[in-house]
This record gives sequence, C-alpha cells and structure tokens, in this order.
Amino acid sequence: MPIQVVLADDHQIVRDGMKVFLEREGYKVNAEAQNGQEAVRLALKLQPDVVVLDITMPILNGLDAAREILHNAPDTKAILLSMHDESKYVLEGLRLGVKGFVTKTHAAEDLVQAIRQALRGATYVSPELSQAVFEAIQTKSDIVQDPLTPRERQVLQLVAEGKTSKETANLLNISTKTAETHRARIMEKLNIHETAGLVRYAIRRGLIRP
Amino acid sequence: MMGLYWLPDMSTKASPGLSSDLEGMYVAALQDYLRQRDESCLHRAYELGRRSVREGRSILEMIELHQKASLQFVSQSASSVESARVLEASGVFLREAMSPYEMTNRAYGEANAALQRLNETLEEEVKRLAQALHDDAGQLLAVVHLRLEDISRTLPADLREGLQEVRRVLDQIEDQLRGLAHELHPPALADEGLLPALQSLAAAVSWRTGLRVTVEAAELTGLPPKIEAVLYRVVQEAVKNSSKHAHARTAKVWLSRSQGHVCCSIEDDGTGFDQNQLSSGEMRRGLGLLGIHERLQVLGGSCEIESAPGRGTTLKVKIPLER
Repeated sequence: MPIQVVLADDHQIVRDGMKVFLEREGYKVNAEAQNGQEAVRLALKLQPDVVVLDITMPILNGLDAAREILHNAPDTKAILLSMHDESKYVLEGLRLGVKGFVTKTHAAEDLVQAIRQALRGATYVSPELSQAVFEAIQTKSDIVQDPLTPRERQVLQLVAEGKTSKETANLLNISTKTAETHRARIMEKLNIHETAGLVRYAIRRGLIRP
Repeated sequence: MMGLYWLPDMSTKASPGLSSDLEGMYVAALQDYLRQRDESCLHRAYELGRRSVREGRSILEMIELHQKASLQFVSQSASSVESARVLEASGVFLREAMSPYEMTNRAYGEANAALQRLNETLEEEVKRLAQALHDDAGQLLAVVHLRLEDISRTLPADLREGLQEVRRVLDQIEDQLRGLAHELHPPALADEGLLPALQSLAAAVSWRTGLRVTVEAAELTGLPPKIEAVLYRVVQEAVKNSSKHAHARTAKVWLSRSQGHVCCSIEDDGTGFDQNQLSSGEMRRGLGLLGIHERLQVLGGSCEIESAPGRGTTLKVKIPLER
C-alpha cells in the first residue's frame, strides 16, 4: 500500500504541483487542505503516514497545526514547507517533533528525502535552513516560551488576521462569548492591552507574516 | 565653513518686515472703518490680510500693527463710551483682516492630514508590493522547480545538466526578489523593532556596496510604529546617499531619545558638497530630501544637513514623541 499523504498549502497552484510530483514519486495524496485548521481536521480523520504543511497559512499556521496533529495523532509524521527567510521557525518546530523542514523552492530535491527520513524516524532539514539551526544552537538562543494554550494561540492568530470575535467564534465552533473570554485571557497573560500590540506579538511569534 | 540648512523652506525666507506701504494702507482702512462702519472697509481689511499672507508676513507682525493703530485711535477718542466703541469696531476689523490667516491655517491642516493619509496608503501599497514580489513569486518559483524536475526526468543526462543551470538562475532570481522585498518592507521592523531592523539594513548595505555602516542607539524601546517606520526610511535614504553620491567609506548612525524627542543623526566621511547648492530643488530631489522632509512633516519632525566639500555630510533628524 502506498504511503498516505495529506497536503496543506493555501496556494492551489502549489498544491497541484506538489500533488503531481508526489504521486509520480509513488505516494498517495489522499487529501488537500488550504489552511491549518482544515489540515488538522483531515489529518486526525485520515491518520495519514505523513502530513506536509506550509508554514504560512491563514486561520491556523503550519507550526501550530503540526503541534495539534502530533499531539493527537502521534503516528503521523509532520513535514513543514518553508520559505528561505522562515528559518527561525525550524528550532521550535524540531522541538515540537516535526520531522522535516524543506525549502519550498527546493522541494523537488528535498521533499522525497525528507519523507523517507521521517518514515525511518529520522529528521531532515534542507541545507538552506540547517545553517540557521546551527547558528541558533551556537548562540544558545532559546525559544521564548509564550504562556498561551494552543487554543489561545489560535485565537490570537485570528485576532491578528483581523477577524472579529464573531468570526473567530464561527471558525472555531465556539460561542462569541467564549471567543471574547479567550481574547481577554490572552491580553491578561501577555499584559498587552490593545489590538495593535497583539498583532505585533503575533508577528514576533511567527503566527502571521509581518 | 560648515553652515546650517534648515528644512522646511519657509524659514529660510527672510522676513521683510511690514512695508510702510502696507502699514499705511492698514491704518487708513481702519480709520475709514471707524468713521463710517462701511462694509467696503471690511473688504479692504480682508484684502490687506490676503496680501500679507501672500507676501509671507507673520501673523504676529500684523497683530502688532493693528494694536499700535487701534491704541492710537482709542487714545484720540473723546469719552470712555466712544473708546469702547472704537475698540469693538477695531476688533471686527481685525477679525476680517486675520481671516485669510485662518484659511491658510486650515488649508495647512488639511494638506497635512492628506499627506498623512497618502503616506499610510503608500506604506500599505509598498507592503502589498513586497508581498507580491516575494511571497507570490516564491510560490510560482516553487511550482516551476517542481515542473522542471518532472521534465528533467524525461531528458538525457547531457540536457539535464542544462536544466540544472536554469534552476541555479532561478535560485538567483529568488534571492534577488527576496532582497528587494525585504528592502521595500523590512520584516525585521514589524518583527523585532527598529534597532535590529537598522542593524540588518546596515549589514545588507555593507555587504552590497562596501560602505561600512554602524548603528548605535540609546534608550530606544517602545517608539510608536509610525515613528519607527519613518526613521527606518530616513536612515535608508541617507545611507543610500552616502554610498551613491558621496562615495563614503563609513557611515555612522546614532539614535537617541531626549526631552520628548527622538533624534537620529547619520554622519558619513564622503565627498560632501557646498550647502548653497541645496537650495536648488533638483539637488534636493536627487538626494531624496523631499521625501525625507515629507515623511518628517507628517510627524511634526524636522531635519538639518551639515556638509562642506571634502568634509563629509551629517543629516540630523528630530521627531517629537507626542503630538
């Protein structure tokens, strides 16, 4: 039976290209998602061998989607697609248990290798990104732990994307009141009291692109 | 000798003082009005006000002139009742003469607000452009690489090598687009704040042009994002001048904060220039000073240039923190 893959990227054209490529390599892409939330839902439902996630996605970014998938479907291997300038997420991703980081433009060479390594239980990082990992280790820079729960992080991403409490509530299937409570808790925990500050924090934490 | 050149331009215009001509006309019109309370006299007041605005006279000079004239008429009045009437009427006359100043002031406020809106739109537009350049083009490049890989499999080995070559060029394009996008909309600015953003700008400029740029700062946390964005653009422009026009070897950027202001100076060891040349609009445009000036004006800031041939150039910028 071929290896099962769930593919998540917010660009249709990239998903199409990746799918053709992966199927030619003998993998089975059994579902595609266009945001992190959909990726989580599909991955938990289908329990694929591998989930390939773009880092920058609306509603829920790739890193937080991986966190949720790895927590609830520990047998699934997560591989993240990254742009060149997103190397700062690599260390955090590795700590979450992400098994591969592949630069998007070098996916043709690196993605298959990353999947093979991941299935063996090993880890693969594209050469363009691995330099950043070494630097991070050398400078002993530590990842700042933020005090938010995964759910709060997702609410924060949605707030930073400009969603209203009502829209947030609809997307997360919770009541508007609960969404507002999350928002208030986030502000309290971070000691940030205006939306502009939350957006800045979300950018700094890589939840959304600057 | 080093001199100072202040922007905006207004302040360099020598104030001519009130010509006796305008002074005489003002006194005569006021006198006629006090005698006749005629609307045509008020119209003269308004026209005199317009003329004085046009000729760049200060509002304080005009008020002083009015005060002198009306005091004279008050002192000539026969009774306290009459002097009260004279005072009241001359007040009406003054309001009329000052209304062109009010209009100018309003127009200035509106122009400033429009400038601010334009600036914000421009920043948004730049951000959108940077995203299109980098993110969108990056996605397409990723797809092109995948397709090339597919095609490459069907090719004999010697042709495959040629395709490899194409992919290396695509990598260079990607690097250049990323560099350009970061320059347009520095991610570090939103991400890490002004100082790290300026440091990576300095590193990028040093790498690209060989100009050694150092950035030092004191007390710089918590600046409003708008001010950070403007300071970043000003430094970017100044450093560009240092390398492109002044052929400098080093440039020092120094930022500090004091007494409700944030100050920034950019000093280079380049060729410098004669400051008298600065009055030519063409030169200021060439140096991007108009852009700098407009960005600063929106925030109520000012800038100052010191330069002389062979003595390098220093640009000093000052922005109030609260308005």
